[in-house]
This record gives sequence, structure tokens and C-alpha cells, in this order.
Amino acid sequence: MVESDRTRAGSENRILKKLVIIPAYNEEKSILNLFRELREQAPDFDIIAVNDGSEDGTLRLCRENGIPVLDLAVNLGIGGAMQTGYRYAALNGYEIAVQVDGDGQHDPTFLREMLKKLLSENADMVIGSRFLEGKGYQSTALRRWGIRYLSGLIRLVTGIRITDPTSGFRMVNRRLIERFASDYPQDYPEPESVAGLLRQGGKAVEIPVRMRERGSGSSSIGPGASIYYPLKMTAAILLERMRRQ
Amino acid sequence: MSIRLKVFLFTVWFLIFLLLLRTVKRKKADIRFVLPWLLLDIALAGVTAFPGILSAFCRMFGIETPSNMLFFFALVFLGMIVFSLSLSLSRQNAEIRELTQRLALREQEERKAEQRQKPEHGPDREPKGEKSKGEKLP
Repeated sequence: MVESDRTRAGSENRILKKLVIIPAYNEEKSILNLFRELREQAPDFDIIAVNDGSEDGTLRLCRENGIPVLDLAVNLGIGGAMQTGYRYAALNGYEIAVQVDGDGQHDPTFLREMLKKLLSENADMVIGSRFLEGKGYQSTALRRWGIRYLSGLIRLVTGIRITDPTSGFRMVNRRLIERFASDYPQDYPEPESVAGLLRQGGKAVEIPVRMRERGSGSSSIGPGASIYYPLKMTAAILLERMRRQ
Repeated sequence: MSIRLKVFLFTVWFLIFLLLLRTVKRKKADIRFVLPWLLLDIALAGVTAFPGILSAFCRMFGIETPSNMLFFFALVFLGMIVFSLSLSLSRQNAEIRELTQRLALREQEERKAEQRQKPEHGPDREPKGEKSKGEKLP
């Protein structure tokens, strides 16, 4: 077990410390299954769960199964939860960190491919995209439309095409771990953080993944947010462009 | 303005003044946040005492009627107060986030250290910190 925590990576023969960050809000129905999958599919990754103020048994399940967990006393939302995970990764010297949502929509079998892509392309971020091959759960029509709009906006601002900027299934290198640990957008952080990365000359690449429909729990984007979300994202991405030139 | 109206208005401003002071005294609100409201109250009392101020200001800004001017300045003033609250709220939001994250990270550190000190202790303990993750998965 101790040996398998370390992996020879690429041709460099270097040992990489890798971490799976699992943001979890009320995921008691799906999280055990996810732990089991991670153990089978990615035994060389350490795991940290971030319990985002769940009201159900998420925390207890993590503790009972020996999964190290960062327990947030109050609900911070996905941005604050992921930032906590990145802070943990930064503090503990991890060189690779990957977000795998606690609801089970991200399939750990893709972690290997993502890692390979990150190393071979020397990228800062690898995003698992639902739309590159169009397989698996494709989200609702309304959301697809919104994602296409965001994708276009990011292309307009940065000149680079990201097909699935809202995907939370993303792996980052040490440089981004450190940056995200100190500064990460709070609500709906995914598109904003990609846009920021690209505009500052970072490299983000995508690989095709199949996502699953969430087994349980609810999306962080509620029905009332369907108007607010695109407006906020537009403002955030455009403002991002003006900031820290 | 009739004497009757003046007396009525002064009574209202005075009562509001007392109410504001009381909240500060009882520490229900910070003086820093109550001060703008106190100043507004005093200004209103001043206008009630000397209504001529209003028409003078109107001429100064070229506004036709005093009531229009009042609406305009009330909007600006209230807008300023609300916006300062937005700033304050954002700052506190960031502070709460920082505290919550630090607490979570520290608690996890302590737990890990504790478990290292007492190995093989109870069914839900992990003997070697996070290295043994998931060994008891179903």
C-alpha cells in the first residue's frame, strides 16, 4: 500500500505525489461507492475528502472508512471546498491534484489517462470533457446551450477552445495547486478559473470522458440560478480579463 | 410649514434618535454602522427646523422642486449605506472562509497526529494516518 502511493511517472522516472480531492455535500449515498472505485482504479492516488458542512452521514462514512477528511464547519460552496482541498495539497507537498466529485459523476477510470495527458503535454490543467466525443451523460439541453455560450466566451477572451469549461473533473499540476490554494473563485468556479489560467498563459488541455448522471444529491446550480449563472459567469470572465494584466 | 407639523416631525426624529442610541448602548449594533443613520436623523431635524435650506439647495443644483431633490439625495444616501454593507459583507465572507478552511486543515492535522500516537486503537482508527486509507472499505 505504501509502495503503491508512489508511481513512476513518464520518462523522467520521478516519483509523484498525487491527490484526489473529493468535495462532498450530502453524498452519503454515493461516496462509499466512489471510495471503492478509487481504490480499485487509482490506488496510487492519495485521497482527501472535503465535507462541505453536510447534514447527512457523509462525515461519519469518511471517518469509518479511514478516508482522511477536511471537515468544514459551515457550508462554503464548491469553490471554498475545493480551495480547502488545494490548500491541503499545497501544505502536504502534492504535485498533482484532481477533483473527483462526491456524487459519483466522475469516473475514476479516467484518472490514468488524465495523468498521462498532463505529463505528456506538460499542461497545467487537464479537463475531462463530456463533449469531445459526446459519450455518456450530456446534461440537459438548457445547460448544454449555456456551456456552449461559456465556451464561446472563453474562446473570444483567450482564443482557446475549451469544449467543457464547466467540468469539475480536472487535474492540475503543482503550479496550479499553489495558485488555487491562495486564490480560487467562490461560486461556479470552473469556467472562471480556466479562463484565468488561459489568459495568464497557462496550458489547459481536454480529454474525452464519459460522465455519469449524478446518482444522488443535487446540483450546486439550482433552478433559480439558470438566469443568474450565465450573467455572473459573463461578468466574471470579462472582469478576469481586466484584472492583473 | 405649520407649527403642528414641525412638532410632529421633531417628535419623530427625536424618537428615532433615541432608538438608534439605544441599539448602540445595548450593543445590538456597532456605532460604526449606526453613525450614518444618526447623522441622517440630525440632518432631517435640521431641515425641519430651517426648511429654507431645502429651497436654497434646490436653486444651487438647479432642481425644480424640493421634493424631487429630497428623493434624489435620499436615494444616493441610502445607496451609499447599502453599498458599504455589501463591502462589509464581502469582507466578512472572505474572513469566514479563511477561518473555516484553517480550522478544517488544523483539525485534520491534529487527528492525524493523534492516530499516529495511538496505533491500532478502535475499529474506525487508521493506524498509519492516511497511508492506510480505505483498507476497511466494504
